[in-house]
Amino acid sequence: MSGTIQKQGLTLRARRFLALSSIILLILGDTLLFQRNSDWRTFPILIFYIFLIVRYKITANTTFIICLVLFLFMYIHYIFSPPKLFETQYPLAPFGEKIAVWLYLFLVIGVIQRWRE
Amino acid sequence: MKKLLRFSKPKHFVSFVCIVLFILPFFWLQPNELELGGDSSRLYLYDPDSFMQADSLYSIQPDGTGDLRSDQVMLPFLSLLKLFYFIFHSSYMLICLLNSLKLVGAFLFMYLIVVEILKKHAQDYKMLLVEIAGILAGLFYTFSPSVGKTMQFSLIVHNQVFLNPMVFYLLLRFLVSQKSKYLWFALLTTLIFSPNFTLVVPSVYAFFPLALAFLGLYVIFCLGKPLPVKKIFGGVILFLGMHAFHLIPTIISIFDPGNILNTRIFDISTIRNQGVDFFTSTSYYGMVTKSFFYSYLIPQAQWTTFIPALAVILGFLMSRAREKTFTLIASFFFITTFLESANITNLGNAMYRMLFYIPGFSMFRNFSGWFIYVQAFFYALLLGYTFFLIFSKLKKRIVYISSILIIGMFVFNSWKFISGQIIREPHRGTNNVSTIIQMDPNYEKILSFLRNLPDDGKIFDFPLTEFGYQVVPGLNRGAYIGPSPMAFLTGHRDFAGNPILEPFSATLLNLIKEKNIDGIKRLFSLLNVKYIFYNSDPRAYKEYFPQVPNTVLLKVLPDSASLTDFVDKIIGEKVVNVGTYYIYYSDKNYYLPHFYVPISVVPYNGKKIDYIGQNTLFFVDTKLTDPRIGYIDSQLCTQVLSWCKEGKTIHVSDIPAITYQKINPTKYKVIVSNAKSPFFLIFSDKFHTSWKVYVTDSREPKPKIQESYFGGDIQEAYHENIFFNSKTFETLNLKSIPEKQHISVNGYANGWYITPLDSKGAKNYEIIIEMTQQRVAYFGLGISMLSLVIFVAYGVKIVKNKGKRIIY
Repeated sequence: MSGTIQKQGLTLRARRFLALSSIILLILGDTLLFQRNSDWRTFPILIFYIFLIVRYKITANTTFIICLVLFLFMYIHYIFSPPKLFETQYPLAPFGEKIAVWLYLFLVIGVIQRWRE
Repeated sequence: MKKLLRFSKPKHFVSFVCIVLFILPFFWLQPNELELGGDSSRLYLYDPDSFMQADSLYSIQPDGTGDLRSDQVMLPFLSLLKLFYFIFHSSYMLICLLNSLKLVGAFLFMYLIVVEILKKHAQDYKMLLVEIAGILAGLFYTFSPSVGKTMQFSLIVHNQVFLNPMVFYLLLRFLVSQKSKYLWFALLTTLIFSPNFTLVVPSVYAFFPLALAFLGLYVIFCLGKPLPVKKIFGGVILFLGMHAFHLIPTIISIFDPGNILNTRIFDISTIRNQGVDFFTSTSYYGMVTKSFFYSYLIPQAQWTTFIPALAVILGFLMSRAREKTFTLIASFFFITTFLESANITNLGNAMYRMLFYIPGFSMFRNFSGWFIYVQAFFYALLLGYTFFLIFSKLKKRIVYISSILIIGMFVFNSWKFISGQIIREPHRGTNNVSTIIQMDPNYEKILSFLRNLPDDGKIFDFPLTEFGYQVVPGLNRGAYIGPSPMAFLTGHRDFAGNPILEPFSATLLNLIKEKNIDGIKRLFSLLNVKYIFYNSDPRAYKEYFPQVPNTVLLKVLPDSASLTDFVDKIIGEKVVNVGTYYIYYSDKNYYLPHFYVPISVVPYNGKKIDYIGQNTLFFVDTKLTDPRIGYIDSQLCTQVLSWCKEGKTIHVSDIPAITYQKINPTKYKVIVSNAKSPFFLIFSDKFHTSWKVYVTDSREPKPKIQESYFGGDIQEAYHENIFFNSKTFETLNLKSIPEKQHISVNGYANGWYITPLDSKGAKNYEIIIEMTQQRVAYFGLGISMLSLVIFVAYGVKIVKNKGKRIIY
């Protein structure tokens, strides 16, 4: 009996991990592979994440951990870039800036989740 | 050791920080240095009394042709500065004290707000953590780029860096404790610093709607307390009453067609050009990264920027579910970050753009510049809360160590600001010319000379800049670049820059290019230019400023020698010379006094409108030798003279003699003698329908004459500068000359067609010319004075009630 529960729990955790990994990969793909931001990618990824929250009961803490990961990407890019790079989005937004937008969106989602918990 | 321990207590540390922040700005400048420049200038710190006289008492712009403008809002702040100037008699002290106030106020009130919000969550042993969180939030806010980066060239609204937290704290205490004394102090603060609480300053709308919404939600939902509605209502009424002296003139300006405020708010094409399009072209500068990582762009310190963002995420991780206050602060942080960055998704950007169609929202076209202060405020609040949450989980010793490290990193990150390097950055586009100047005593002598000039002829400045600014090189390698001190500190109108010449900006440049000296003299004549000011110092021209602000003039006159050569051709006699500063008369054969009666009227085709909406190419090709000419749009001319026809000059032989006297910049008296037939009276101030003419039957003795022109046809009396006396409202019961007789002449000026009917057949009479919008300023001042009396009485009542409570 306990073995079955453990098996189911592991499966759920694994699925959740996979789902969250896919979200991070999607975000990285969006920021690294495309030069320009597009809502046609941003909002479907967000909706997909909201679906995952409902489907796998992802907690606010998990969302905030994703935020920490995004923060790390953003910070590393920021400190290894010349300060002038973050003065303007023209002609193209730097990687760190695109990640910052994702960080903002995930923080908003996390706060809403926390309120509903 | 005991002393050291006492010092380690947070409250003592707060006092220590306040002292350090107070002293800090005194190290930024040497006692003989000044930092006065910027868009709106800070000349009020150089000489508050003269600034008040020239700029703030009257609803007329002190420079150029005297556009209508209300700046009465400066009066309480200038009065305070005057008091400090009286005590210290040093502009250096005023500049340093104001900077100190900004730093101490920003830190102290942010600290107090965080403590006030957090203290309800803290048991006794956690009060220490609350105070540490408050100190860190206070320092974060004080050292943030919103406070520091704009310290150089700071506009008067930069005072919001301490006023926002100060008024927020007072209102918070008022709503939480319901004690009226906090409301009273908040109102007093708004009155003293009224330039930060005007109707037209974006900072008010950027911060206070959000701040008031936050306070209301916090008190109702987080504290579960009712709002003291009656007291709030009373406070609003008192606020409106006390601020009537600037609110009423501004409201009138907003609904005055053609006024810049009116067009910005209501004109759809202006909204599109100056709002939507401007926002679209600048929204690239909005960066979410900048909202998370506060930096002064020092490469070595860039790594220290992680603390606030990391602390916020950790704080979110440690927060509990349904923590109302935390969620509320976070929500306002998100809103303000969205408003400051303007680039959160394309949909967000498009929604933002739509907001610019709301009348008045185009004031936020420089969105980042206005919302940076608000975002920093809520970021600091959120940071204070998250530090508290994080520290609650740590041991006391680790809290101390990490706090010291965090403060160290804040200081390291902001060293450019703390050390004063920010305000020492050179003017852009110049040969490394500092914004900090040691004032040249020779220039001060010129200012003093101008103050004592008895007449009201205008001054034309060379070198002429493209911004409408005057360049004043200092004794050091520094220069003041800003609105003309000659206009704003002496009361003499001058033309310091090309835009001030509107509608003749392009015309003058063409005339210089064509070397049309006669045309330039005629233009000066129409603009009532009596003096030409020339700074021959090459540092004021190409040597220090190879580009801005001389880009346009340098194209025509490429060096100081050619400029000197040009000036020599257009000047008359020398009036005074101090060092490199010269004041000359303009050519007396061309000079037209402030008021004149034309002997020739030249109707022209006003339909040929150039790009600025005025036909200004009418005057230079005339062959008439007497400069007393009135150029009138033929269509307007037919309103008063039916035989007026384009191209046919009307010669008037039977003109009256006039004597004019300035009472103040909004009121003039003209004594008309021997007016046998109708005549035009031209007044060389910018046309506005609020300039009214009243014919009186005054029997006052003729004022003392200082100068006579055109063989006595025009006489200039000694002028006065009376702001208020028993005759201020003498025209209230008089009927003005019908508006159809008031027409725009010479492309910009006021002209009235006065007939014997207006004087009821009299040949000798007196005319009063008055800017009637100044009455609105007087009316507003009256209401404010009355409200101030009620406000003081309210304060006395609060003190008495407090006394009673102690007795009981």
